[in-house]
Amino acid sequence: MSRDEPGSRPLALLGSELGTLFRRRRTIAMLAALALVPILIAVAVRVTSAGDAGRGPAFIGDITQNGLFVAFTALTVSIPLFLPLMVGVVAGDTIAGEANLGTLRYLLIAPAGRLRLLLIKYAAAGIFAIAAVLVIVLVGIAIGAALFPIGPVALLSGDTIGAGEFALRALLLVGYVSLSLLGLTAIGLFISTLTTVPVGAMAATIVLAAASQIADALPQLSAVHPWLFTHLWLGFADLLRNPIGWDSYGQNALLQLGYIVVFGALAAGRFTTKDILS
Amino acid sequence: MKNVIRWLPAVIVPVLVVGGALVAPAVANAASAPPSRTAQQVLALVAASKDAAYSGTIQQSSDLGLPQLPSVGPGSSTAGSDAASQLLDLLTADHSVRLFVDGAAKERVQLLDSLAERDVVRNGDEVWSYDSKTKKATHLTITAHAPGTHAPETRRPETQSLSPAQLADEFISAIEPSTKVSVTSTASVAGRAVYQLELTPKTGTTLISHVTLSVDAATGLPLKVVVDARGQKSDAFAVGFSSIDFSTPAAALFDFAPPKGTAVSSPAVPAEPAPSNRATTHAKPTVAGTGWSSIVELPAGAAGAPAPSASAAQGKLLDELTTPVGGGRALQTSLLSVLMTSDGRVFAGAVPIASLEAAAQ
Repeated sequence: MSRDEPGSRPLALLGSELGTLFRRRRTIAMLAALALVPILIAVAVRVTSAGDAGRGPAFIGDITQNGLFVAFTALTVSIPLFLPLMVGVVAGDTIAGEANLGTLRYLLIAPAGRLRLLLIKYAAAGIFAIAAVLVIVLVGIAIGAALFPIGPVALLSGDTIGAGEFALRALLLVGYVSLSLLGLTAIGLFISTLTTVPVGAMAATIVLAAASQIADALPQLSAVHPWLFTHLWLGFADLLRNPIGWDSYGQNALLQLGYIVVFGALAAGRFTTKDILS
Repeated sequence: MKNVIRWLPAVIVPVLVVGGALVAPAVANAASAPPSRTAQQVLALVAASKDAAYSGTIQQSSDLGLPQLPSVGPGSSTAGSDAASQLLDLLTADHSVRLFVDGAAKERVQLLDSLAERDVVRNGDEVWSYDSKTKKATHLTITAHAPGTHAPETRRPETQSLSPAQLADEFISAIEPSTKVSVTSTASVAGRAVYQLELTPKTGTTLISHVTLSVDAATGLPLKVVVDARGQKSDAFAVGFSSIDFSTPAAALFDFAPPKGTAVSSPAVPAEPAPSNRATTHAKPTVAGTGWSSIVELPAGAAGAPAPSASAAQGKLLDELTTPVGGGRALQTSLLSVLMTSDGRVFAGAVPIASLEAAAQ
């Protein structure tokens, strides 16, 4: 868990990076804030019992009947703003944060190579994204089970699935939403290599996520919609249909892979040629 | 120099990714051309294709020249609750539909909305409809001989009396005087080779430039319909498969049971001639002109719904969509014009408004 000899064992370097990331008070606070989303939703619905269909975010009307829907509602609410916000903070901090603290050159003194450092930084940020989604889903299921009756889940298609298939679909859902955030993480990583001011990189990443979603809502820009990394963010609904619509899963994977490769290459180009002054 | 080499991947990779994304669909769509056939033969192929089992995704898009409104975020209901705006939404907004068909008696249609879905499931005599947004289901039991309840049923009587080839001949000779029919066999839809039947109106007075029907070369299933308007580059209306799979869908898909907490209504099956019944209570519409430039006239009072009984919201919608013209208000889309004269008559047709005004004189 030390940074003494990282070059020889890349996994150890990733472990130490994760240790630093998840021990940070900021990271813990962000995960706690995400955990609050399903709790707030569940308590609000429980207290007011005003979950009538057709109003509020999707799935909120289902909660009183089945607590498991708290997880879906919380995800739907978090995807447009909270999750990109948290991912933007972590991804924007990757390189710029070290540069700002003056620790980047010490990291590079070790014979790890810049490319490997970049990969490990990206992996750590990606793991944070998965953890963030997991927190929402797990806390959502837990609080839903605590406050509401749970039972077989009705899919959007009107068919009903049992506990085993629900667990499978919830897992796929976590995979889908985490995957959706990996493209944004790559963008954040690239922006982070451009500056030594982490706040700037974070803000730029979050603004890009918002701008992309606004562009996605304008029908006049429909020609560029399939190219926007946020375009399929809400496509996770296809996992709640019967049979599962795999099209959007595959398309989303391709889209995010494209963003990861392009912005990964840009980040690598920038980071390997950069003069590290701090 | 070293830096240039290090930047190389950052330049090459985006080019490769974007290029690949642009080229891949074209490669995937390439299918070998089927043997050439005449329009009659293609139509006979269509008429002979029945009781197929397949599943697929259908994309519907339209560009009717109507104003577009941005759809915002999750949970926003672009589809209003009242029937009129729902119908408008169905026609003018883009939709994704999943279709599962197993023979003539088992069908499931899923209209995919953002975080919601509307389903219609038919399994033999049982018909269920389900709306995930309103949590309402409808259950119908249709008797085997009730016509008019479903498209395949209505088609059957005609197809029984005529062979597919005869039917095709009859259809072609019926449209020949007004329409130029041509067939090409080089296109592909959803990765399958298709015959493209192009119907071009011979008259110059209609708004429709041409209608293209794509028919799967192997099975004869119609895969895509595109309607193009005169003077418009993008398709005015297009509905077609974006993917199709000719394996039998899982039988469980057609066994529908509404989830707990769903409000189920089972309206009585409408008496057999219900639609025509309603029509006869009103004055009958008349048709002027022939072929592509026909104009339908609804005498005063026949239109019923829009004018007096309309809700305030509907009236406002109508005002926004229509423009005042000489003899009343007109709605102009790229395919269809509607003229509502001030004395309550309604004229509609795939013709310019000027023709409607002339007909209203």
